[in-house]
Amino acid sequence: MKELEVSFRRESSRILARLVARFGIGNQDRAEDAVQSAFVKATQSWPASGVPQNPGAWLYVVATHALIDGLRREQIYAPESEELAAPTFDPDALEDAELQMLFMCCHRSLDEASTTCLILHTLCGMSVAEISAGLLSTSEAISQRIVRAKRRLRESGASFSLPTGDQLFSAKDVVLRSIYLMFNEGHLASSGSQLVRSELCDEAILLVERFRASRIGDDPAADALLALLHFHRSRFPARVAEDGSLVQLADQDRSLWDRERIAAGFWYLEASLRGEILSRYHIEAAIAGCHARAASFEATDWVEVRQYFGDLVERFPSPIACLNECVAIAMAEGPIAGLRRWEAVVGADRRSLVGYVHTHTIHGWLLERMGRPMEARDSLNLALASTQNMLERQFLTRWLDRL
Amino acid sequence: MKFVILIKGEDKWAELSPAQMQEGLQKYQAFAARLREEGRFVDAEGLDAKIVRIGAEGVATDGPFAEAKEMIGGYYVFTAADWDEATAIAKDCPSLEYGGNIELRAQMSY
Repeated sequence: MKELEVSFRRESSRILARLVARFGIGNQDRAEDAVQSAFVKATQSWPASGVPQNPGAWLYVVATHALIDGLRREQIYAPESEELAAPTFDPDALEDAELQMLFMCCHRSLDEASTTCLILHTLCGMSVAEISAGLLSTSEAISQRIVRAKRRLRESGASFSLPTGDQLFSAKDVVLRSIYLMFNEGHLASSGSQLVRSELCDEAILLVERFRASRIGDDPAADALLALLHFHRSRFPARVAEDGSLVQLADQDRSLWDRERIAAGFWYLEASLRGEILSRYHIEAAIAGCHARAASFEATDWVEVRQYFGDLVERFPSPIACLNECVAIAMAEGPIAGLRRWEAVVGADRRSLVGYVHTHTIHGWLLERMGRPMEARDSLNLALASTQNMLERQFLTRWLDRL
Repeated sequence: MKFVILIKGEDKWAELSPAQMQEGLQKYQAFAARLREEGRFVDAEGLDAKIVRIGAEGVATDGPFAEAKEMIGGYYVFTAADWDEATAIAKDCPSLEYGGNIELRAQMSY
């Protein structure tokens, strides 16, 4: 049978966004029901009467009528204008509505986890069950989170409109950061047994691509983020061994890396080198590019990587970046220099780093390289005590056995 | 012989994601396409939720709040040689996967 030339997943986000843009965020739940009912109607009538010429427009019109019917039934609202009674299908307006939806999901009144859930639900067309599987949570917890997030948006008076001027600039920043965090959530779960949940990561990449293709998406930072995500994504086939265990960058079979994604990464990295602003994604993508280019862990241009880490730590200081810099320093200058740096980093911010698993794995790795296995064991045991991720624990246990 | 499949109470749809619904649509399309290819297809439609009951006392509009379990959501009319054949075909209707139950009825024979 001929492949259906419409994606319900894609249409659900576009139509929902457009309905919310027209009927207000106060009606978001009703709009979701209306979109759902349009899909149900499609499944009932298309097999019999054939797929309409423009399936997306058909779904949009049916959803709009369902929403208006619902409002009338509740005696809330009876549209007066011709336009509302006979909705028109305008692709540009749809795109704008989706962008508005994206910005709304990234509203400052929401925490990161809520933003991720809301994005997945409204923009990626994932059901509560799918999201809870992806985020290793229960369906009840996820649906409560979504309900609360929507309520908070209504109460905080978030407007469903695109920011302009300086506000657009900072709002774009938040949007890219939200997508970046969503990717990270899929990249390495903080608990549970599934290490790489590639579906979340793929959705994140699609979102950046959609944003980039939009009329406000001409932004070097978006290109750089896309480069970074493609580089990370290219390594997924090598990150998890056949028995499901985690494989460190140093031990990965690089022939498994996805060459097409690496090429895409370099293409976007090249495209990002314009404008005046160097985002953290630029630097992180440059580092990921060094790894993508290298034939092996040892053969990596560590001097270059170390320089990029220096830039990252200087411009976008974070304890995690500082820790990773220790590895680059150790590879470029030797483990003693790396350890010295590690001691300075941890000494400066012991409170936030002591419970973080990679503080100890990096320490253990440095000590092992210096030929001090007994001390390395102590560090790895500390690492073991700070993670609940089953695969990470398994990885650390095997490392301990090897020492 | 003409048969009709009456689909009642499909209540699983509300929990599905758009992608899963699309899968469902494709199953229904495959079911309808098969009926067409085998030359059995007569008619099919999904039915709206609004019900108008007309009795001696007048007209009453019910719904769209009718009891979902008892509501007929759609139908397929097709031809089959006998009840056995028709039953085998009705069992393939995707509705069963979505919480629906199927009532198979035959044209009255005179």
